[in-house]
Parts: sequence; C-alpha cells; structure tokens
Amino acid sequence: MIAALHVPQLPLQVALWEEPDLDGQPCAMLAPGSLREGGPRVPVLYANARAQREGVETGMALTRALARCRTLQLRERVPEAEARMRESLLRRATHLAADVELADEATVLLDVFPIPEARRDPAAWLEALPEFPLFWRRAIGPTPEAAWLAAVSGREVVEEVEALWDLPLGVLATLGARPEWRERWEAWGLRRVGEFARLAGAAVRDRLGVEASRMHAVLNGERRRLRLHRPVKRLLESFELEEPVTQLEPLFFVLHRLLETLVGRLQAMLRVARELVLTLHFIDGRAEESRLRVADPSAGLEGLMAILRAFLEGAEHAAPTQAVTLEVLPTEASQAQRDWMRRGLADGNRFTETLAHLQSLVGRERVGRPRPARSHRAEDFAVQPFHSGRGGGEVPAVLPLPLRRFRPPIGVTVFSEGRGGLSWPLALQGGPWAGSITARRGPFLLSGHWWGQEAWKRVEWDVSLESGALLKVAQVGGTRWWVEGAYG
Amino acid sequence: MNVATSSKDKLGSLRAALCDRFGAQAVVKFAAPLTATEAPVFPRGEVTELVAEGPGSGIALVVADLLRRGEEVGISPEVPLALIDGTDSFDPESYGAASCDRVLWVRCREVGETLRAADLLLRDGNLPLVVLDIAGNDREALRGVAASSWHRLRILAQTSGVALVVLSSEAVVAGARQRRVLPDCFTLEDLDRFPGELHAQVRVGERGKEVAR
Repeated sequence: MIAALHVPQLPLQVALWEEPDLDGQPCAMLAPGSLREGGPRVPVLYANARAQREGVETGMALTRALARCRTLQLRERVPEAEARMRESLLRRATHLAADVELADEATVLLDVFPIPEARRDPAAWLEALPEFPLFWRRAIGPTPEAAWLAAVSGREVVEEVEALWDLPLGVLATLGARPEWRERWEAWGLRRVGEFARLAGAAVRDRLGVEASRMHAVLNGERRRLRLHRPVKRLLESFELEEPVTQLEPLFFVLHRLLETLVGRLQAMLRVARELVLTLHFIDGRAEESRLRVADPSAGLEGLMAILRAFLEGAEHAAPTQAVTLEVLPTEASQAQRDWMRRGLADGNRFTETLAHLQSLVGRERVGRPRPARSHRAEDFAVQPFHSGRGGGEVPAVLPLPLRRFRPPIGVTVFSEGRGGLSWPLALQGGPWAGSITARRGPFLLSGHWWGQEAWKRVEWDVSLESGALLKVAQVGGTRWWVEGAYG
Repeated sequence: MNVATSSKDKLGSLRAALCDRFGAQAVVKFAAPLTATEAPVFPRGEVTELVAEGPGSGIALVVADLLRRGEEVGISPEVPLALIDGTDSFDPESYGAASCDRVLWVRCREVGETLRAADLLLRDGNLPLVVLDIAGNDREALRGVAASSWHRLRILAQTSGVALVVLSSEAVVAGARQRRVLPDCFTLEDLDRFPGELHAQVRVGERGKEVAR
C-alpha cells in the first residue's frame, strides 16, 4: 500500500510562493537564463491557471505567449529554491513513513502499509495530513505506479490498478513513456491506459521493447519495491589555523590531513569523489569557494591531493589564509562519470590538473568551452567550464568565412555619405586600415532585447579595403564606428 | 680529393643528424591545408606552421574545418581540440554550437601566455591536436621569442605525440616540420556563400591551383 505526494508545477508554485505579490496575476516560467540569453524564441515551461485562461500554454514560444497575454509575468526557474522545497517535501514524507522514494522532482512515494490508520481508512488518513506550503495532491494506491498516477491525475484512493485504466494514455509520460511509443499508440488507435494494458505482454515487448513491456506489466498490477531515498551525509572537514598562513606548504599539510580523513570515510561508503569543494577563509573575513571537478572519479588520496595542489599553486590570494574547509562530493563508483574516457582522453585526472594550471595562467573565466547564444547580439556568448555538459548543436554557423574578432572593438573614423537615412561607409581614416572601401555588404540593421531594459540597436557592414582586408564594421548610436574584426 | 670527399660525407652526415634532431622542413605555398590526399595532414608529434600572407587568407577557416571534420584528418570527432588563442580573437558565433563543443578555448593576451599554455597542453598530451593561433600577435614580440622555445615545444610535441599547428602571420617557428603559406585569396563575395561551401572548396584544393599558377 503506497501513498504518493505530488506537487503539480512545483517550479512555478515555488516562484509564486516566494513572491506573494504575483498572486492572481498571469505568470509563466522559463528555463534559467532564458530572459538574458534566449530571446523571444524560448519556450514557456509552466503557466499558471490565470495565464492558461488567457491562452498561454506549456511549450508555447515566449513571443506568442506575450502576444496572447500582454500582462504576463515572466519568471525563470530557480533550481536552488526548488531543491529546498523538494527537501521539505521529503522531510514531510520521512516523518510519515520509514520507506520513502523520490519518484521525480515533484513526487514522493511512501510505504504506508505499516500505518494502521492509513490501512483502516485511507481517505481519512490523507485528509488528516498536515498542511504543506504549496498546493499538493495526495493519493493512495496498491502499487507505487498506481499511487503516482492517481496523484498526478487528481484521484485520491485507488483500490486496484484497473481503476486507472480510463485515464488517457498521455498520462503515462509521468512514468517515462517515450514520445515514439505515443506515436505508435496513436497509429494503433489506442487512446486509454486500459487499451494498452489489455494488449498481450509478449506482443508489447516485441514491438516496443523491454521498457514498454515493464510499463505494461506495472499497469497490470505488477508490484515492485520502493527505491529508498537515503540522504547522503556530507563529507566535510574544516580546520582553523593557529597562525594565518601565506605559504603553500603548511596549507598542503593541513589539506592532506583533511583529505585523508575524508577519503577514509569515502572508501567506507564504497563511493568515489566526483568533485572537491575547497573554501579558503581569509584573515580579512572574506571566504573563497572553489569547485574542482575530478575527471575520473576516484577515492585515491594522492590523486585528489594532486588536484588540490595544481589548483593552489596557480591561485593568487590577497590575504593570508586563516581557515580551510574541504568537502568531497561523492558518487557511486559504478556510476562514475566516464565521459572523459569516452572522448579518448588517456588520463582525465592529469587533464584536470592541466586545466587548473591553465586557469591560473590566464584566468578562470578565460579557459573553457565557448557556447554561442541564440541571438544576433554581438559578443553574446558564454565560456562554460570545460567539464560541463555539452551545449548541443542548436546554434548553426552563420557565415562561410569565420570572423577573427578584435576584443575590444577598435574605434575608427569613417568617411561616409548619407543614403536612405543611413550612413554608408566610403573610407576608413587613420589607423592600421586607412584607405578606401572597395566593396561593401550591408547595411545589416540589428536590434534586440526590445522586451527588456537591455535593448540594443546597431548597423553592421562587411567591407573590403584596398589592402585586401575584409572587415566587419559597426555603427553604434548613430555616430560611433567600430572595427569589430577581420574575416578569414 | 679524398679530403674533399670526406668533408662532403661529414657535411652530409651532419645534415642528416640535424634533420633527425630538428626535423627537415618542407615549405609549401599552397592554400589547401586540409587536402584529402595527405592524411593525416597534421602529423602527430610534429609542428606544422601555417603562415597567413594577408588578412583574407582563410586562417580562421582552417580552424573551422578542423572542428568540422577532425575525423578525416585522423582525429576522433569525440575528442576535443585545444585552441590557444593568442589575441582572444575566436568568434563562437562564426563556428556554431556543434563546433564550439569540441574546443578547449584558452584566451590569452600576450605571446608569453600562449607559449606557456602550449607548453602545458603539450606536456599533458591528452588532446591530440593543439592549435596555437598567434596570427594576430605583435610581430616584434614574436620575433623576440628564442628559437630554443620553439624547439622545446617541438620536443614536447614529439614526446607526447601531439600535433601542434601554429597559425602565424609570418614564419616564426624554428624547427617546424612543415610550413604552409596561405595566400590572401578570399574576397567579400565569399561571404555570400552558404556556410560550409568554402570548406569543400578548400578540401578539393581549387584555391591551391589558383594560387599555384
């Protein structure tokens, strides 16, 4: 007998809960960073009831949503706040039952069979549960999946799985149904959960695979045990130095001791380290936190110490260190990140050391993987840490001949003539490219972020000079000209 | 006569020893650095210098081509490439997200930083191709780099088996195994082509013939 606690649209509810002034207003939620990076094409992730009444739907492009609802309030997801609320939901569940599973980011399942009140009168037990800060749905079912589906679909007590067979097949996305299955179901003319559940198990396995077959079995009442949620204890050690230190050797000595303790605990847990979080507390009261990724997760003391050494040898600090805190973030050895090996790197941990040295040479923000943004704004890109996930190929190259940028752009005086309300460049005066413009492409009138305070506008030209140079020049603010880069 | 022959032999053996020690250099004036007939184009453990004769010689196109089709030049598309950017001139928008995913971009400000970054990456040896872009750096500063520094990088590349490709605006790399000169041959009309079109042209070497005439 399993109970499910489900918070619908948890990210949106968290945002509204943190900003009570938004109550009653149409609100939509976007991915983190969308308002700055993505521009008008980003999709709406969640919309509240008021926004839905105005025609805003999940998955709709932002521009379309704004066209339908002028007063739409936009908020970005705040993963930290969501995690706090999820923790709160988990705490609530662990107060009620011993065996708890975090089914997805907004659903907790708990085994309530040992609770006599829940067995005697499930509906009354659900009703008597203490209040939760957000709107939640509670349900009880015979199996984990039945309870989960019941909570998601707004039912309370389900005696048999068959009671859920009238639900539309779309609800199975909750349990991980793949889009391609849904296409097949539509092609087969299936509309309800029961229609899928009634198919022969072997036929489902043959046509949709093992995962679909497992889901089919679950919908026919197959039971499974809960995947118990066990909060991971923090592997964290601190040390306050008697005298502030400015040299590295005493710091290495202290860190070696801390790491030795942490590695011992890590090995006892049969885990490996995936990240080290080093915080240096300085004598002037400031603290600096650094996160050092372990490329090939390991529980080897010397390997982890080498990563700390490489980082600290390149780091510069303005004040002597008074205390250090070291935290090891563990992961299961079997699930350790093997991405580096997949890419053919022979020694991932050594590469991490090299990255740390490069960062200390040129600056942390100047080493990494570039990620172009989906906008036409100049220099709208980010440099991600090299070990972060790949960005994907959704932003194609726009020009056949790449640009070599001048950072910062170089201001030039341009001799121009007015045509059609615009200044057409004729020659560059002074500087390394002085000379007549022999050919030009343009004007390219660009503007963006008109929906926010960071609105921008510029006119760009590609020009060819007598010297053979192919330059990109831009006019900003109607008067100033800049050479942004050279092609080729 | 015997003395002369013996001197010739000695000179020959000295030349052979120097070739073994510092590598024989081939200078190619050709604008098709990625021809399919030469594989791998940038040999592992060697230093190749690509010299841009002028501002429109397509040196950035070489980087773009490497990122697009590393597999064809003997590098797995899963393996990232290092780009040591001497003047912070790489423009991510020009290359697209898929290409950018393959780059470890090191944004340097001056020649000393680029050489030290190259030293670190060659010593590391995890990335099979390191591109050192010093085409925009101050020429005087580049001329001031001691030949021993380039030899040091060459020996590191040899030891770690990494292909080092130096993009420069004049021949500066002492001991480069190959030096290819990229003439100034792209024009404004080329910007009206489709992305990727110039890559194909570079591959079949049409421009190379043009230049070689």
